[in-house]
Amino acid sequence: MNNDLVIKNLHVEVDGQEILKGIDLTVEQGKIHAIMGPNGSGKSTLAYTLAGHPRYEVTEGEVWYKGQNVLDLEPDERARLGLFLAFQYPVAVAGVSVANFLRAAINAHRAEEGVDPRKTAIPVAEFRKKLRERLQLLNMDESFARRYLNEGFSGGEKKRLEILQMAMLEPSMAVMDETDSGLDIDALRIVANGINSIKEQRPEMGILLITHYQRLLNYIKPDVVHVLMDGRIVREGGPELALELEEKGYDWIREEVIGHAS
Amino acid sequence: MPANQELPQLPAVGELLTSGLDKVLAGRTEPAWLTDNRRNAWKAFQAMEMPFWRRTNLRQFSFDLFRPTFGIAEIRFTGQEGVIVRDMQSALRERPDLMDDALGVSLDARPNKFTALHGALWQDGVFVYVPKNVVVEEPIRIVYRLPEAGAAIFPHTLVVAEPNSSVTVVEEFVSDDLSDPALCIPAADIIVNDNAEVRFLSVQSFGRNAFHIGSQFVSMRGKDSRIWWLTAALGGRVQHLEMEIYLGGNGSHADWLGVNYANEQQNLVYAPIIRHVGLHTEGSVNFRSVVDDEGYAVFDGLIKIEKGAQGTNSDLRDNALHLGPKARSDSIPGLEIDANDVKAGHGSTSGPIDPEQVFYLRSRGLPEAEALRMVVMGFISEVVDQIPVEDLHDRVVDLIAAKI
Repeated sequence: MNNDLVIKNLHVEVDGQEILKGIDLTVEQGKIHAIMGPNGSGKSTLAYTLAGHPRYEVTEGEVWYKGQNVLDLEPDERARLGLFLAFQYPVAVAGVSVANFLRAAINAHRAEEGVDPRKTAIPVAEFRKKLRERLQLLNMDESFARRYLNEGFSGGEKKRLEILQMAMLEPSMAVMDETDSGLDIDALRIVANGINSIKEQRPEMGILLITHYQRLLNYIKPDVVHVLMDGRIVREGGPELALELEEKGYDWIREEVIGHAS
Repeated sequence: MPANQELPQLPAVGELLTSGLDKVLAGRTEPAWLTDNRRNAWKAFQAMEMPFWRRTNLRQFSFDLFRPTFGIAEIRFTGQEGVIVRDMQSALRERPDLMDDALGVSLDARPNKFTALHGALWQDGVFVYVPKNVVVEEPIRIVYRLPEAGAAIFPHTLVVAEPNSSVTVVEEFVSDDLSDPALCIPAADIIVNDNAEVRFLSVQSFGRNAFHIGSQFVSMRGKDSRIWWLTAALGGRVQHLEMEIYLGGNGSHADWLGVNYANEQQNLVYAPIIRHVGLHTEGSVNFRSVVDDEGYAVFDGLIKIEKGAQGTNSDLRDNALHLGPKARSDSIPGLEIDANDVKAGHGSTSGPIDPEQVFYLRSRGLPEAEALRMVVMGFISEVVDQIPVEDLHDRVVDLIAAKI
């Protein structure tokens, strides 16, 4: 089965304003794709739309994954299909511990229609072992699991928790929305190493890295780089394109695009 | 099980109003002071109007049809040297001397038609006495049950903690879903002496159609005494609980937690007062309300700092979560200060569930209903997760989960 994520002519409005103006993009199974673009180009809109946030209204287009039109699915169905979004701004939920939440999420993935959920639930010992391993993988203290979800977390802790969730839920396609933002260089290295370790263990996983800056790509090597500008993909290339953007900024592309357009 | 069977069955309140209370009292062997109290309470009951509580729905409520009966279903405690845990009738026979200055403080604190009726007709309850310097590890468990539609019970919990003692008392109010109204008028008198500590849990999980209207009073008369009180309102049709912690002893300390979950057509009212009287007393009140369907939850709370209560430090909070557009909650945190060297704060929040939280949980694969349940459980967990008795904690969690 083809497990590429295929986005076709995707148009999205937010509060009546068109943000994505026809995105065509294929994220291949097992590959790392990066989407770069200036502020306001529509990067986060693409991420939230893929995850099914109700505020983002798809007016045209399709998104296919594992033989299903993702746009027809509820947010939780998308997750259970294997899509994962690492949020740029993870949400705090007081009173819900990281461990309890992860266990519930894993059990939701394991649930089968018409089967007693107690039969499909992950055994507690197995869950604990897995959690401990993943915490170690990400250099995180075990006390982390007892804290409430993102409640009082630093920026770096929030991003690490996103990666921990990815490590626990084992998605087949991960969309990472500015996972590098707000991190100092040490935190960035820890998060990037975490992503690389997960990818090493699960080479079949596809990743769509959304980022403003090239610096994350020093640690995570993309196979393909796409440039998003004003709601459209305007350039595609190899890793060298990211370096070029770092050096020259986005303006030269903008000029070229406007030049082509006029 | 206590020996309730010794007591005669009483006629309905309406019949008692015609036949009088004397015949009932004649068959009793109680201390004379108690019989006097009953007569006075009965007079007061007859003279008083129905209370007017703006936020408590007593339309169509009438005392007449309720038939007084017995409320104790269970007392669970393996026993400890010197510690008394007795049903009230036995305790009144055996140790009235330990009870007479404490029994009924909650009724005196809130004189109204309901507490008066309790004072006249109450028959059973539990007396807990912890002698000086005794630490009771095992929680003392009491279950009060409304047996059937039309019944009225008047359970009375009396706790006396002598100096340097420590005890946990858990009372649970239960019933089946009832086809017609039934009435529970509870009273709790809790006396905490010097440097003693009481943990008191009161969990109301009646079935449909139960009215739970009463008064609970904690007298922190001892210096450096400590009360930790957790209350939960989950069941019944109408609840109106007037409650007070009286911080009389210098350095006395109160932690007060509550969870109120009103759905369907429930109208559940908490009216807690924390009264600072001694020097350097501390109070913290933290309640959580959840409303759904056409439920109506009320937190009518007050910090009262009396003249001379210098060094008071007090805080009162109620946060409410609205799950349905027709559900309502009122939060009225009040503050009355008659001393000048004090710290006091109060506040409340209310609002719907945050859709971003629900989306976040759903984005990890949790179905919508489960995501909602998790957010709601999280909201109340700060209170519920502090229930120190595991089976009770699990039961409360299950009861709440079933309501979401």
